[in-house]
Amino acid sequence: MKRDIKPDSDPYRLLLEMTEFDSEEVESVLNVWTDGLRLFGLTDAEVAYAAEKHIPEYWDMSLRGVRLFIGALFREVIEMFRMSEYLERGDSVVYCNMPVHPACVYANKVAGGDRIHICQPDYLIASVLEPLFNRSFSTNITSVSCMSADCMHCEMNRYRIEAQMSGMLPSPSVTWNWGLFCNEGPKSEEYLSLMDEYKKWDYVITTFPHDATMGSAEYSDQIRVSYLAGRLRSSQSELTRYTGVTVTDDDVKRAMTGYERYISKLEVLTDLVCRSNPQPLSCNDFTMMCALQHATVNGGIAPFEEALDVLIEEVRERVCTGYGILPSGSARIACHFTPYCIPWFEKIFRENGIAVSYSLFFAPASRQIHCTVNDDVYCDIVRQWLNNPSAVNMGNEVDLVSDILEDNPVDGVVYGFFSFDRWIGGIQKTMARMVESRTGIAHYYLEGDFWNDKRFSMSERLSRIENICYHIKIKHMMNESE
Amino acid sequence: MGRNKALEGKEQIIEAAETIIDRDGEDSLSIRNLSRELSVAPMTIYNYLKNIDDIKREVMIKHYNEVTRKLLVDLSGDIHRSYSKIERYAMIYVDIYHDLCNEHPKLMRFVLDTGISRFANDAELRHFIRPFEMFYSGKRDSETKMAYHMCEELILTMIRNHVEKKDVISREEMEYRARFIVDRMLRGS
Repeated sequence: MKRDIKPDSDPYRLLLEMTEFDSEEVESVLNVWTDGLRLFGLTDAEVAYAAEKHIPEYWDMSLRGVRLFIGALFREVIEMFRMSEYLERGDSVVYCNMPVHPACVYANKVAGGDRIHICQPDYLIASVLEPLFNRSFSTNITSVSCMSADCMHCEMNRYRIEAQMSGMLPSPSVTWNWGLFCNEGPKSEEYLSLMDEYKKWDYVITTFPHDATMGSAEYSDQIRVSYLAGRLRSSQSELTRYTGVTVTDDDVKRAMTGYERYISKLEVLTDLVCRSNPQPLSCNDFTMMCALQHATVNGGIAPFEEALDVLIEEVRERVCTGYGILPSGSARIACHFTPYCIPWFEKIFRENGIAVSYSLFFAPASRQIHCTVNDDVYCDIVRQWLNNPSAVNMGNEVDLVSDILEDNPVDGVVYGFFSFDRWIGGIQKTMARMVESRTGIAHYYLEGDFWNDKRFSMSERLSRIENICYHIKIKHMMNESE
Repeated sequence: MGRNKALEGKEQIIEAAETIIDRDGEDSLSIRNLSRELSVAPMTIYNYLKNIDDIKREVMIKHYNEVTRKLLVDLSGDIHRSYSKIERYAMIYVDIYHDLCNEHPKLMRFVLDTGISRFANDAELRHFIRPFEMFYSGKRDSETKMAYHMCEELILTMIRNHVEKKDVISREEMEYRARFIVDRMLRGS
């Protein structure tokens, strides 16, 4: 596509440069980057707005670690734009859906190298493009699949399907559909398979029955662990039939090593953010890095690890100098979703004097690292998976979340964002009461589908958020004067 | 009547609902009356809110937005500083409601009667409806929790009796009674 933007006013170039792409790399990817963003419906004005206003407003671009991380995410987006190219040259392309255990999927890349490419389109569209470009694909993607915006479908699945069916994304060689939280992903795949004209790819589905006894610690149930490990191993074998890439246990172990190194560093950052007073880093920056616990990347974890290393040092520096996003002693909250996906959420709380510290959606890394036994690599993957609060029965989730809150105390917790969600939505209100009863920490509720900004916008939710802020500040004031 | 007029947002509906309740009482709140108040077709209202119950809920959220903001501002100031923390909180709370009851009696009757009974356990409202909830929610001692609960009930009943004209009292009397309740119920807690 002809580029008619002058280099010195090119917002596409600016975005890459401000996220630590060097000049050689900028030149090599600029066309793919520009064409890809335009194919996804972004206008030059929207890209310019993201570069000049939106990203600097909600992410701390003074931190090199944040710039490097966003740059690494942009590289993954560029990889997504390149999937057609890879398919044309005969490589295998594997799509997967949110959430996955990253090491399990990335092991295919470890085994196959440049012959195979992995992509998680729903993560890249909903959790990278949408928040960073302030663009609601929910209302801007034209429905070709009959999954319209107001029909309460999971937006992540809808984006992936609409993007494939409309041609924004090529059909992969195979999709590895993870239905371990809920079955909406597999159901979507099944739905598509009934529409013959659109079925141009194969798929492998991995599901898991949610039949555990309420309150049982699933990761320590060896029968469940072995069963799910067997399902993953079997799914991998099926995937290999389509890709031709054999994945050995050693490949999985190498992928795990990278993943565990990443989450160990994430744990260091978690300690710095949650235990320092004042809080040195905003939740938008922090949770963007946590999201990789559920997302896999084609370019490998190394660029993200480098960003994390840099950021940890920068945050340590802030802790030493006493720098905080709010004054020392400010009230803090945790929340049960991914705040950076709606970046204004953190900003409203901060403007009202309350720091959003972390998301309960991501299990703390230490639980995941210490639960591995090194008997069978797939069993270890499953144990890590079952230490994720959202992956297990409600009683077990209450225990895991309560432990997280007791380790990282806050003044309040906000639930409600997944009220639309097939898996999480049904149990949120009960969960909030149970955890509140166990921990004594006030759990507030903010109902809404946070992917859909027609129903969940700043103006629409402002009164509710203000209520929570005022209430927490009053509590904080009452406790301080004791 | 301008039936094709568009609304700027659901805030207009909530304000109109508040106006109707404040002017004519809770029983006058209906989709038909709202559409007349806003000069829009009834179906327009359903584009923003599900039903009357949803509208009442939004009115409650707006009410507590005003009350908690006023509570925070007054607690940050200097009034009633000579009293204990919990007495001061109770006095400022009843001051706010005494003024609201005098200025908006019909709206307060709705809030304190239907509003509280209907939405006391609502996930988005439950923390704001109970004035002392923030003091006892973390406590495990059931007797302490019961003492705070009873404070709430007595204070809310006092305010309700005032707005329903069963026991109309001055601001100072309401403050005194609130302090009395807190002192007697929470002594030793």
